[in-house]
Amino acid sequence: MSRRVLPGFRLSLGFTFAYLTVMVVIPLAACVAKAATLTPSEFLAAVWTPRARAAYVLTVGASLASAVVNVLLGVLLAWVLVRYRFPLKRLFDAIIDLPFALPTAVAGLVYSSLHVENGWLGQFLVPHGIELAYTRAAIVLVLVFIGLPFVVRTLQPVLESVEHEVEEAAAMLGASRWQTFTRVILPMLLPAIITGFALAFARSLGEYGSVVFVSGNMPFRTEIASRLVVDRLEEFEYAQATAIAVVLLAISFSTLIAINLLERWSQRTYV
Amino acid sequence: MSIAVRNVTKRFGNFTAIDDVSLEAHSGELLALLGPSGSGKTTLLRVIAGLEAADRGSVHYHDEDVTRRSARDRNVGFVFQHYALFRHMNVLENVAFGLRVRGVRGPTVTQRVRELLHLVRLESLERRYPSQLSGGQRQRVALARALAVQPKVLLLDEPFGALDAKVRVELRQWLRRLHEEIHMTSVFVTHDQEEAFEVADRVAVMNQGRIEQLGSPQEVFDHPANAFVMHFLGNVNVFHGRVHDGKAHLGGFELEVPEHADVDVSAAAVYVRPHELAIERSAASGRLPARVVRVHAAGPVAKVALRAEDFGLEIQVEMPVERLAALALATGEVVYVAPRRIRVFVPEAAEAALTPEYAI
Repeated sequence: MSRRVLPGFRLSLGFTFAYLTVMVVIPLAACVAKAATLTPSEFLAAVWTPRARAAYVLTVGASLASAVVNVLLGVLLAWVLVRYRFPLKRLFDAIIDLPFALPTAVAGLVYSSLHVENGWLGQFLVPHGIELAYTRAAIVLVLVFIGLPFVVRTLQPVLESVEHEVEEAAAMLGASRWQTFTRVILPMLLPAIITGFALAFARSLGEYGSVVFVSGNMPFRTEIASRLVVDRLEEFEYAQATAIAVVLLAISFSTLIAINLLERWSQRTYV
Repeated sequence: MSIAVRNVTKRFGNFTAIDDVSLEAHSGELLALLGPSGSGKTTLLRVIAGLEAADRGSVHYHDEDVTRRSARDRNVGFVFQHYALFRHMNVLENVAFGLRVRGVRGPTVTQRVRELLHLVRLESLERRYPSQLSGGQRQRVALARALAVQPKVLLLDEPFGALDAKVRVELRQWLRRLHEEIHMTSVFVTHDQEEAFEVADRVAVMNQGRIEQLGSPQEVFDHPANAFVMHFLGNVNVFHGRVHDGKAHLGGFELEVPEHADVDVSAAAVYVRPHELAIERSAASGRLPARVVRVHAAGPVAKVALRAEDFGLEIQVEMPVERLAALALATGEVVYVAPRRIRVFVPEAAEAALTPEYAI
């Protein structure tokens, strides 16, 4: 290997490998190993019950729904924060990061207490049939809160890099504002949108703290897969719990790979 | 189609970018807006395009007042300094964009795009993306894209500004040839006087939001309207002194200036271009004794720096290298400098020459 300008290649690479091994590979391997103590039929019995299937569908479905909402909201928010000047803009900008720092259990508690029948918002919404506590919609709502900064923070720098001239060029060529947005700006943002979607989605798949407080954890209705794992653990069925965890891992991993491929496809042309 | 700008003023906050400018580009003409940065040339171009709204005044295409018309309805081709290509589209899609947003579909689009790519000599690159092209190629794609919608006028903002020296020279010659082929009324902005003089039919020299002079390259170069234009068009020797009785007194040295026989000013500036000075071996009246400080003989034109110590003047002279060889100058020797042509600008004009003295 040719000599590098900066020293420390071996040290830093060694550290990276050691870190990944200790922090990621060993725990995951332990998880798989524990699940492997089950026979195939026991494994299947643990992970493929009707209740577990309902939990998977809810987890993935709610995560997808929240990621979609987050993309729409995030594009709008990033657009406003990048393109317009208004009072307290910097404060708004800082507030976006709040879900990063706030303990998610707090978010869950706040949302559920706001939306229960006699809560601040619930007293107005529940009579109209909008129940955002202990329902599936509540799960999506809280996941939107958790995932929003991922989309906004991914989009902001990309939107800032879109030169004003490109929009002017489109206008000079006769494009309307809508055509400029859909044919020029949106395609330029697409890779960042996909990345933001992936981050928000992945974050939602793994979210636990806030969801257990707003969902009510009713089996078949509002119970997410992570909650099912905790349930098994409380029953001291460790192998069954890890089996479900392995399934969750497989779902996360394959969706991340799929999204990665999608990202690469969307950037194929101009990197 | 001709373009006329009438009494246009544009301010940004307290800064007046364009100050009551009127200008006309004749039909089929290639007009250059030449000036230093901050002179308002790009703003003027953007007002013509409709990308900026004038605070006062009007813009006319042929006989039509387009002042209130938006950029997208003006049907103008605009080429941006940094190309502003759509990076997610390949060359073909970029050029086709203007046709597509107008609802043109099918083989007409491809055919029209291919014609244009042929015109800008990029037929073989239609599948490439902007990131895969060189600066010169990107600029030609931008030009083809602007021409695709068959605009009535073509506006170019520093079209070669971001390119390296060799490519810019090639591209500006090519632009001139292209203009001769398509004969579209065109206005382009540049800060490079060589570029303006080589490409344009007429040049408008701009400074501080005003047009200092408008004319053919020859007119502007031979008869600069004022000190600013004189300064801006390249190296020039500036001597400060007094004009009295048709003579310019510079230190203890005198020059005949018959065209200013009736003025008497104590702070006149006398301008002499380096190639309008001759170096002689013998003393005579009207010749200034000076010591040779430095000789640069690289290139077709030799540059000699001299110092007239008695008068406290630094002098720059340019001559063909053959002449330098014949003279066989040595550093430190004393020779005589004879101006062949001088220009005197009286103070109110000389005030315009506040640009830093990149001459001497």
